[in-house]
Formats: sequence, C-alpha cells, structure tokens
Amino acid sequence: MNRHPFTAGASSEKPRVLVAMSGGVDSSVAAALLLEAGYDAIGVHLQLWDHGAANAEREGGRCCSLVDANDASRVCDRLGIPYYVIDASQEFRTHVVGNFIDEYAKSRTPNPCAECNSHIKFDFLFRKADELGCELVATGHYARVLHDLEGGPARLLKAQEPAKDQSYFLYGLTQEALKRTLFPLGGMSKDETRAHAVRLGFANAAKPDSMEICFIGKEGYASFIERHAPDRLLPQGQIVTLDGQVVGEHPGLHHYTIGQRKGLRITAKDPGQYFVVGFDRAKNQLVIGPESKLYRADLQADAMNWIQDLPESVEGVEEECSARIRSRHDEAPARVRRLPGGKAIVRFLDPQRAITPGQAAVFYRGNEVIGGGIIAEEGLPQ
Amino acid sequence: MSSRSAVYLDFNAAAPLHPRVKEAIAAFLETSEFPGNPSSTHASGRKAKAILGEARERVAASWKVRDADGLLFASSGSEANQLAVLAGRGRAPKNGKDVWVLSPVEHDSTRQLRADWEKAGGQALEMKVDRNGVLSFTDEIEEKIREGRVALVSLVWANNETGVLTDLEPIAKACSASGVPLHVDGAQAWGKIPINLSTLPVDYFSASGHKIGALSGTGVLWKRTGMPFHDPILPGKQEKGRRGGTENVLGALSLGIAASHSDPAAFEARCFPLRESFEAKLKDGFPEVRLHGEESRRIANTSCFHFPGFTGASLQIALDLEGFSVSSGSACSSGALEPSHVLTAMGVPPEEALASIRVSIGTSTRAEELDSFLAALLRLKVRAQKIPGRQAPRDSVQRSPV
Repeated sequence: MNRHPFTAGASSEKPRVLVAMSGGVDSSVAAALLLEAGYDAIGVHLQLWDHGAANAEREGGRCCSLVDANDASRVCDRLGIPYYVIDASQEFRTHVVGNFIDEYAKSRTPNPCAECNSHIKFDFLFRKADELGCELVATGHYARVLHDLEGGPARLLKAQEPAKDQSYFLYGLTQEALKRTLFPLGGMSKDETRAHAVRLGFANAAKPDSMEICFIGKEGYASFIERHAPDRLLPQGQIVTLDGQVVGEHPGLHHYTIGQRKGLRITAKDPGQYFVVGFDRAKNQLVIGPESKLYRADLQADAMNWIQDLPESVEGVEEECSARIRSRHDEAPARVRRLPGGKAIVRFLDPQRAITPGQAAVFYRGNEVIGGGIIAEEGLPQ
Repeated sequence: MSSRSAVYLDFNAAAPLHPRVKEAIAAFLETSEFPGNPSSTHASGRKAKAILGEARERVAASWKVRDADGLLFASSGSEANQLAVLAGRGRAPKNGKDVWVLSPVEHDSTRQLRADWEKAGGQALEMKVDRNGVLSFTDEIEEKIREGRVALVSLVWANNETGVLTDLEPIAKACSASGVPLHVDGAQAWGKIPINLSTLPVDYFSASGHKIGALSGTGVLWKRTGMPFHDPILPGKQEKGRRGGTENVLGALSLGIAASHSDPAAFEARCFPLRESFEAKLKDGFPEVRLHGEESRRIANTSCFHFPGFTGASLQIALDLEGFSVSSGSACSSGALEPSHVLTAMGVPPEEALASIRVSIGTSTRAEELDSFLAALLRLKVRAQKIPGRQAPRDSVQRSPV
C-alpha cells in the first residue's frame, strides 16, 4: 500500500484516518490494511437510507441495512478500532435520491453512485473528518490517488486491476478531497481483498458485492419513483417511430432509458429491431428507431469537475483523451474541450452507442482521470 | 486500539458496579451452597428463593415501602415501565377510562406503548413541558380527570437527559384525590434523591438496577397493595404469577445490595459541588453554551448543554476519541444518533438537540476529570473554528428534496 505523504512527517503522532465502512468486505479490508500500515483508523458507517421493515434481515446486494451496520461494527470490534454510525440520511435524501427522482422525471438517466461519492462520501464525510480531527479519509474503492510530496495537485488513477476499477464513480472528487484521500485497495484484485479478509478472520469475507442501487429494493426503480414523486411524472402516452408513426403506448417515460429495447409494447413489424432513441417530452412521446440511430459522435457535458486546473491560456483547447459515457462502457478515443461555466464539449473519433443524458461522462488520459461531468440534453436523432 | 483511557461521565446511562455489589457477586459465585432454581422446593431452591426475598426487603427499605410483596423483579427499567403501564392502564380502554396521561419527556419504553393504546380506541394526552423541562397538566387533562376518564398517569420523576426533577408531590396528591392511578418512572431518581413511597401516594414505581451500581439487565417494579397486576408479558408461575421465567437470582442479589448502599444524601453532597463548579467553569469558558433545564430543580449530577460548532452528533464522537464518555441524543436501531425527544419537547431545535451532550457524574468522579473534560472541550472548540467552510455542492443539476 502506498503511504500517504503525511506519514513521512517527523510527527510521532499516527495520522488519524476516517474509514468509511459500508459493512462490505472492501471497506473492512481497507480499514485493516490502514491499521496494519500504522494509521490511527476509526470506522464510520453512514446511515444513508432507512429500508424500513426489510432493515433487519440480510438481503444480498443492498447496503445500509442493520445487517450491514452490524457487519461493520463487528469488523471494527475485531480490529479494536472505534466505530460510529453517523446519520447522513437527510443529505442522501436531498442530494442523491432527490436528484435521482428529478432526473428521471426529466427523462434523464442519473448515476446515483457518482452523485453519492461527490456529495456524501466526500463533501459530508470531510466535514465529519474535520470535526473528528481526522487528517485523512479512506474508502474501499478500487482506484488510486497519487499524492504529491511537495503538496502539489493529487492525481486520480484507475485501479491496478481493470476489472474492478471504480474510478468512473469518483470523477467528482475535488483536489481538496483527493489530497486527503486514501484508497488502500487501489493496487489489489478482488481475490486479494477476499484473501486478506479470510486472513483477518472477517465474517463478511464471502459477502457478495453490492450490485444494485442501494436505496431501491425489489420493487424496481420505476415504482420507487412513482411512489416518491407521483405528481411529477408524465402519464402514459404514445410510442412513435422517428417518422412520427404511432406504434404503441408507453406507461410513462420514466420507465425508459436511451438504448433500451426491452419492455416496448409495439405493433410494428419486426419489433425487435426498435430501440428507444429519444423522448419528445412536449408531446409525452417515446421515440423509437433502429439501432443505427443510437450512434452519435459528440456530446456536451455540464457540472464538470476537473481533477487538475489547466493554465488559463489553454482553456478552450482540445485535449486528447478517452471518454467513458457509462459505467460499463469501453472508453473511446475522443477530444474534449473545457468551456467556461463548468461545461465541456466532447467529440469522439468514432460514433458511440446510446449517449444518455444524466449519465456521467468521464475523461481519461491513459490510466489517469482528468475530469468528468454529466451528459447534457441532446435533440432527437436526425 | 490506541490508548484511549476513558474518563467516564455517563453515570445516567449506567453506573459502575458498586464495590459491595462486586463483593456480593464474588461471594455468590464462590459459595459452596449452590443457589438453584427459586421455584424448587429443596434446600438449594430455598437458598435461591431466600436471596430473592432478601433482595426484595432491601429494595423495600430503600423505597420505604411496607409491603415488599408488591415488588417484582424484571429484566430492566424498560420492562418495569411497560409492566406498570400495562397493569395500571390495561391494553385497551375499559369502564369508560379511555385516557392515558403521560409526559412528552418520558423514557422511550413508556412512549412506545402509546400507539397500541390509541389503536385500541384509547386517547393518549401529553402533559405540558416548558422550556425548563417542568411538567404540568393541561386544562384538557384536568378536565378528563374530573370526568373520571383517566386510566393512568405515567410520568418520569427525574429526567434522564436533563436531570430536571418533577415536583411529584402535588401531582401525586391530585391524582390520589381524584382516584387516578399514578405510575412514576424512578430510574434516575433512585439513589440521587430520597424516595419515600410510604408518604408519597404513588401506585406503581419502576426503576432499573444498573443506574445505582447493580448489574445491567435488572429492573424492579413496585405496586401498591390492591392495585391490579394482571397483564404479564410472559405468563408463568414465578413472581406470584406476575412474570414468568426463572428469576435472575444474581441480578436480584446485585440489585438488593446496591439498593442498601444507595445514599442520596452522600450522592448529593459529593456530586452537587462538583457539578456546580463544572457548570460555572463551563459558562465562564464557553459563554456560547446553552444549559438545558438550568433554571429548574435538577438531580445533583447532570448537566445537559448545547455546544456550538459541530454538526450532527460529531461532538460526542470527537469527545469519545479524546477519551471522554458522555452521551448525546438516543441511538436508533442502527446505532446512529437521533435528536433527543426530551430536548425537542422543551423547544430545543432538532439540530441543537443533536449537538447537545449530557454529562452525568457519580460519586467516584474526581474534580480533575471534569477539568480535563473542560480542557478537551476547549481543544475541540479551537479545532472546530479552524474548519474551512466547505464549498457548496455543484449546483448545475437542479435538486429538490424528495
């Protein structure tokens, strides 16, 4: 594990690090490795969402249940480090769940995990870290931070193991946060992490990874949104082809995302060749078309966060990069231009499939994240 | 863990085992005459039963009740509270008595019984609490009392969070004069103020053991002779059919010994000057601090105050990391802290309530411990002042609360 430059200081005091612990195996091992590396680790479990009755029982893939809080607590007991549960449910409700619903209500497809990392795991957590006298914050994410020994800008890198890389979700971290952030698992594979968990005797060593959106249960995201914002959703409407032909009815635009093929009840011939290609919100119509209409070569992003500022002289100059437009997208070569007002324009060398407003676009140079933002609205395909 | 030797300032949550209790437990464990099951009729059972009987006598003496048979051992103060309410009030209204009066600053174990009562057609009326934590009947409650509709009044004598004392005598006399049964939660009063149930017209009195130096997992309920007790949570033959399950003999033993050694006069003589000096220094050093219930009569060991500069429950956590055990709010099932309902009922805003802490001392607390606590508060204040204002969240995506 790379040492943080803070540990290089002459101070005999161990640097105190706040470890965000979900109760999963990754953050548990992260805490243990920090402790072994000589940090004064304290475990903090953020209570983000109340799952109600389902709370007390183990249900795979969802976090924030009592079971998870209890797993985190047991790991800390085993490590002999202090452990606290901090309620962040109000912040989570506003910044993550509220945004999630707003975005779907606007027929966009949000990425709540990236929002959560920016607003909760870092903004909120750093405030707590300051109050608790923690110089550093650590999580079990698979990504790496390179700290500058001279105090210069920190760099955000992909994880060593491409299969587990989570840097896409971390593009929103500011310099202020990165300089104080540790990702102890950045150089490790999941197998190595599990091996550590077994070595450490953690009860959660075999716990499955969380895969789904943590605040959405079995009901699925569409009925979650209907339950929380019934008055902000458009009613059912028509499904039309790009040439305006009505071919079916949709139960509400929030059920769909760009590029979706499943769940289209249409009366066209050869229905399997149709995909969602856009939304006509003025007419409350879901627009479908052939797969070829999903490809575009450019996008605009806003709410940009650049990991490092460029000198003003080069603002507006195109930078070569590779861009990722959703978490499971193979990043594609592109040129990105930084614009004022937190915007960016991206041109791909080759057109990309299903560029989806609301998703994060993250830009890399090699293994390094240079920045990211939210994909802005696009018109309908021509 | 790094060497965080804690200074313990949370006696209202649990007091350390009394030295005499430790000795009694050691003797119990070492004895050659094994105390068996109190329900057994043989010698070993009689031995256990005798321990229970002696413990009952000791508690009776501590509360000055003539009838030790009215005492029932329970698993906790919470259970004792619930047994008292279910016995005194019943599970559902009957004979036209459909009103249960409680205070908004009751312990959760009492408050939890509200929903079922209302579901059963009953009405729960809360007493008034002013900003100093003082309780009084509302006009509506007095009217219901006159109409003979009140099944039970439940109230806490000494508040666990603020330490504010209810002026019990006039309320008890008013209830008694109107024939309204009164349940008093004495968990924080026991050992801290004199208790005399032979002169105070109380019908049910509940308390827990670990607040006075007995083992945790022990509680005790007293009911006045003639008051109903017919609704056990766990039916069985033990405790005269009032509570099933083999009794916690060791727990009862510890309770009895702690009861015999509880000494409110000594407690007050020791704690009051320490607390007064602490609060004087606190107000002097931190004029921004707001002491809750300061103007009221309080038990001698408790200070509850808001200390600005920290969000949520961070102050309590920061103090724990500095080696000081104090309490803040109440923990929800996940372990996250919630604002104290006691403070919010007194009109304290929820954010302030969550950032308030309770310091409660005991006879073993030393003045230096409180001084080092004040020094830690100062360090934390300085640290909090250095925290930069964090930048507002990126705002280009419109957000609205759910």
